[in-house]
Amino acid sequence: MAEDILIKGLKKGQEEAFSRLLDTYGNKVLQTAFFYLKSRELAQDICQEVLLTVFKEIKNFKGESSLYTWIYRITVNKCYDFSKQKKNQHEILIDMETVAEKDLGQPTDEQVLKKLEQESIRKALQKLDFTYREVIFLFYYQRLKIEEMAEILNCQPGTVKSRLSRGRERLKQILVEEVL
Amino acid sequence: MAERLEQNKNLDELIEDCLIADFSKIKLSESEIKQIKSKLPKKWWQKTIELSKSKALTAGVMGAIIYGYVLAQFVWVSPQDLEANKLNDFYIEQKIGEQVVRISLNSSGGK
Repeated sequence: MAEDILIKGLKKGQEEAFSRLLDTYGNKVLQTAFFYLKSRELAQDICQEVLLTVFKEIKNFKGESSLYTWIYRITVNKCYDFSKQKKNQHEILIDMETVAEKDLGQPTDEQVLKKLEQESIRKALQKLDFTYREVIFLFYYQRLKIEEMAEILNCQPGTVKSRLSRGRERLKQILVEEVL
Repeated sequence: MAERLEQNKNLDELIEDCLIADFSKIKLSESEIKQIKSKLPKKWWQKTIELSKSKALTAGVMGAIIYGYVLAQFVWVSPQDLEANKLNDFYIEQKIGEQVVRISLNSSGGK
């Protein structure tokens, strides 16, 4: 319902609706673009481009998918286009250690353990093929459904399911073999 | 951790925690939000207002110049004109009997 109101507002060209779009999807789009491009600056450019495209092209949105899925598809496509331009599509690797915030103060034992766990997962994720890492990011972080991911990635839901399952298995394997 | 990995559910939690820790920090700043908003295409009436504003400003300046020029034509009297028209010759005329007495108010004295 809230999405319908947002779409109507955007179709009318209301600035207020654009502000709501920014509030709701701005950070998600930025984070997704950052995942693909691994640069905060580039991610911000893509984020701006995506949101303005949504505002301009909303008249062509027929509601066949959710607005959420549509925005993600635009984001992912723009990131792929950008990567193709830069010819570094297969070089996308996220060095999350540069992003990870340094905690200040004395951490508790539990915090140290959690940090170690996260570090292991981070390392294992970096070793994972991009195809698997992509579905893992969209599923676990962006909490997208299999059908939505299939629409965004332009493939069958079965393909997404198998990539997710294989990715999870591969991640587990890496954790057991190399990290632990 | 090895124990936790025995169950896929725990692996799911670990992945989620890790991704949240890494990506939730990446947010748009206020200035970035403002910048994006400023790039919004303007509506026709906003463009018209902007155009009208600049047109109104130009028209206002032109009007002020013309008004000032016209006004100056009425108010401004050159010293030559003053001399020619003897506008500086102020006097009072008074009829006393058959005679007209003119009392000049200039420094040169009355006649």
